[in-house]
Amino acid sequence: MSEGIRIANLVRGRDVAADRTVDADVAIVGSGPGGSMAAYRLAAAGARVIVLEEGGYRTRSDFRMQEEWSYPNLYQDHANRATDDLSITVLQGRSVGGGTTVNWTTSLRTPSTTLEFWNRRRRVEGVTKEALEPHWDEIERRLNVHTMEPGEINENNGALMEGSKRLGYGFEYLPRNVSNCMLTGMCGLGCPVDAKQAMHLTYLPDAADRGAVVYADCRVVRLERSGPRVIAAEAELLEDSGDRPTGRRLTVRAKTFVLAAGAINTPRLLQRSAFPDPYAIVGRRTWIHPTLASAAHFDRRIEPWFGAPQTVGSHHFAIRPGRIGFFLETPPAQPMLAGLAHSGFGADHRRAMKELPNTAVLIALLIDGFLDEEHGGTVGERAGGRLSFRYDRGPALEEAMREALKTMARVHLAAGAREVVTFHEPPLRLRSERDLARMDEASVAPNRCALFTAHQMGGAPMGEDPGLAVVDSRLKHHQLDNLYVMDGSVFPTSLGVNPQISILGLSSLAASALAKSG
Amino acid sequence: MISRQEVPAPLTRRQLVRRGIVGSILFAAAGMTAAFWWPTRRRRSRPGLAVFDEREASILSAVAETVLAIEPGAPSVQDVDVVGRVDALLARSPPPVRREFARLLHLFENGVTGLLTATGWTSFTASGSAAREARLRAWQTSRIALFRTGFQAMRRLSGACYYSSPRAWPAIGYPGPPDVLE
Repeated sequence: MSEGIRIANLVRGRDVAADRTVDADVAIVGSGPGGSMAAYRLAAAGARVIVLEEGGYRTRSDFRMQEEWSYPNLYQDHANRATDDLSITVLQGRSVGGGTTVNWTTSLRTPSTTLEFWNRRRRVEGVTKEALEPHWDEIERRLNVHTMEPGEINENNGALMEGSKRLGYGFEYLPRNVSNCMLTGMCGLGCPVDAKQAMHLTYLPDAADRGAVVYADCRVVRLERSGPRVIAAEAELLEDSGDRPTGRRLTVRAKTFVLAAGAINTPRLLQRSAFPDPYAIVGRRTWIHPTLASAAHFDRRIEPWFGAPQTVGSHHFAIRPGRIGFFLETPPAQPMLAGLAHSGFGADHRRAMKELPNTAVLIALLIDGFLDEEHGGTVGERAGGRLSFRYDRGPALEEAMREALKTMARVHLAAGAREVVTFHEPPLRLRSERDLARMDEASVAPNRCALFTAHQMGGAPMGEDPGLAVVDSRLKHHQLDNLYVMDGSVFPTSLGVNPQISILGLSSLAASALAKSG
Repeated sequence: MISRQEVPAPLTRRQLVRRGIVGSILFAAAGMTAAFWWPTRRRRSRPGLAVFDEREASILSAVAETVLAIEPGAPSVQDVDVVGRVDALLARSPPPVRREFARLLHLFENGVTGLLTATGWTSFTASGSAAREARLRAWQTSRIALFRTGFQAMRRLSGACYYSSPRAWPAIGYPGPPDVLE
């Protein structure tokens, strides 16, 4: 088997035998879409770039399509990350490539309505459709973004399409960043055939070819500053498993620092570094597209583990004036994820698992952050230095949860499902429109109805008003001269679409401007 | 213009009471009372665990059996080594996470919890299957948020660690990954 595409200048934690100090023009924390794009733009402009990634360098030879390996090794906190009360499961990537190594490939541009809202309500300037379009065009070419052929739509996605048609709901074919996709359905476990055009195969090798150096197994613990300038990133190197420190430290001194550690770890790093936060906004207003799931049993095989996930989506309910909108997609369902997600226990749980071959699954992603009454998530620290993450629920969220659950049930019933099985505790079984009224009585309190998030946004928002934003519209920190944030943390609200293209586009725009000014 | 006052509310008093104070007292009580008064029905020890002692392993094993309700003929919780799999996962987690989960198991086993949830004062492992289900059901839908959190921790780890094993796949009709690797 050929080696595939490799990153030229890659250093692993175990390769560093003694404490080390290195100098660079730009130090970038995180190798997801934001950090990789920044690395590429700045290296292409001639800067000496160092990328620091906490996770390991994992490639297709590691990706054996085994959930028991992939979840602990490719996700934050071994895929055990959650809100403090465990009521929201947080799926967030952690390896070279970040979320792009494990995401489900959906490649949608930021909706214009979202960009206009940011401009109108959060004083974001210059981040417009017109400014982003040339960046998106280039990114989509590089990542081979395209929609699938009708013959490549699996049964699971077919159910969403069929149900939507019958109900008169709009739906669309979703663009994906893949080349020669073999429809394994294993996107979330790392693509075993390098079809997914993730960062470790695209912009990171591109950046490395232009001199950027990538450190894997390298956890930045804090940034040091002197007055209004950041002077160094202090990191501890980790063993190959990516968990335990080797005892060696890496210090990176640079002229410019870019945080791209994702919308939970970036705010946390700002807090740990005790950087100025005069309006107490760092780590507040974290948006997560709170995500509900719904399963349905059919009288035929669906095989939800197989075929490209999320080839079809529906934004029919994305805009609900005065309420929280939502959009529908179809996740892949392999046994471990299904076993974790299915609610209930005993006979309820066993029955759901035994029906897996005939099960279709939908997810509804709630578009949070657009109503004045929403507070979103809060990132902080709890006893023992552990991450704390809480998410505030209000009546608007509960209303949207119930409406989204009913909508998913309707779609599956319209597509011919024998019964819908919800993720309430205990699960509800619904066979007709009349049964849907039971959703009104069923509790959606924390841990009474499963919620997930695979899209983390906000916590270090952008905008011209320092009272509302941590960074300005060019993504430079309001209080510090040489610190930038280029990841999903800068979004003032959630997006209403899967985030990778939005993060890439915005990072490209900001890093290009920085390269010119530099 | 949005006001600058829109700072998210910290935990409400009610949440604090439910999570923090009640939670800590229950956990503390579990640690003390369980150790002295409620004998755990132990299984033959499974050597080589990094996190769980024999007692905790026995509790977790009983929990996983009740959560998964494996049919006769399908691989058992022991066949799949659910306890060993959870242990291996927690061994990679920070010490506070390990301690919390171990305390949760003691709390769940504890007869005091049974009294609080009106599901009897017998320890979980010494209960019959109907009583075990009643105890889990009480935690699943409890008004005390901490119990619901505890239920989720036990349910998710049991479900994920059993069904991630290739041995569990034939019984649910999962054929395993497609043959695309060279």
